[in-house]
Amino acid sequence: MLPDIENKVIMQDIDAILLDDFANPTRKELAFAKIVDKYKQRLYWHIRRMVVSHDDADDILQEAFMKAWKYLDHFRRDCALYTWLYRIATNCCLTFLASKKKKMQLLQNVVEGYLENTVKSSENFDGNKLEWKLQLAIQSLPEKQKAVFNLRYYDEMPYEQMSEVFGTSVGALKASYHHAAKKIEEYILQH
Amino acid sequence: MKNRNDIEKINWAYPDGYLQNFTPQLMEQIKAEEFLETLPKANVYTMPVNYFTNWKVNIPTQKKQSIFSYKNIGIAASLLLLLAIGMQFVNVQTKQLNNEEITTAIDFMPKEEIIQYVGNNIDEFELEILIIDSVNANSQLVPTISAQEAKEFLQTENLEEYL
Repeated sequence: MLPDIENKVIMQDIDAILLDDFANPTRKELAFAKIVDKYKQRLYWHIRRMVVSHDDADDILQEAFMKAWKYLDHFRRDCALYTWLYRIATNCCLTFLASKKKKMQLLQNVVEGYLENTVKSSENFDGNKLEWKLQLAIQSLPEKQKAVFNLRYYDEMPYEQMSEVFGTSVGALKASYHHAAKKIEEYILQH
Repeated sequence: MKNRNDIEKINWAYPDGYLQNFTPQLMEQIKAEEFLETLPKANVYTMPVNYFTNWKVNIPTQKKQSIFSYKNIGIAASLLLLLAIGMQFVNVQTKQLNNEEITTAIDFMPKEEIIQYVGNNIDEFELEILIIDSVNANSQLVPTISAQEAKEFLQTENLEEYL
């Protein structure tokens, strides 16, 4: 068996054991703590790239794992555990961003630019550097397209797994990614 | 039987301009993705030092099951019904207990609160979980119904009548 596939199988075996332990009341909390330890970094960075602010990412990460705790008993194991967790985290991000947008419309009549401003106020921000321009370009994408782009570009998630995260066809995800890539190229070349 | 020439004459429908636009669109996509590959993938965001060292999920502590839970309301309502049926066999000379005197958990709470709690405080996903739990715990008392049926049952008029 190829090393990558072998690692994947091992990881999924470990997840299956953790899920079995979670179903056992005497081992539930310990199993969940292990699941959190295993996935917190990956989920944190996925969320952070969506919302930019560390404090917001921290809140959303808590919320995502709280939901995982609440609904893990009913996880049907029809996809990988991390795919299920990514789905929760992504939905939490999208809900957060939609709510933020709505509040800003109500309070300040300002819709655009919140995330761009948050990027610009980040530590070590340098607008001349390509990596920061890339972030500004990414933050200009619509939320769902941004999530698709980040998962593909940074997490290198296969489209088939992304399809389980978003409940969208592989073809639609590929199209979304391609459009995002084109918008990013245009943004960077113009700024 | 159709021969090969007949099959090749079949015209499958496709969007107007699709083939004319295909090559330039494809070349644009290739160009954009090659451009992406020239960009640095470095992580520009910083995480507070030792952020994850003591990070924990604030798991809610196990609450004692409230006497006003859906499950207990269902059990209490079923007991009420059984008692009401049992009253048919009580000697008419003996004191008849009215519903208000039959002590149940429901009587501690105003009806409006029960209806609001059960109807509004839980979403459909949680409702489905409660039904599953109820069925597992009390299969004789609670019939197997879907979340949608339960939601309809819990409409104000039905619940008032049931209580």
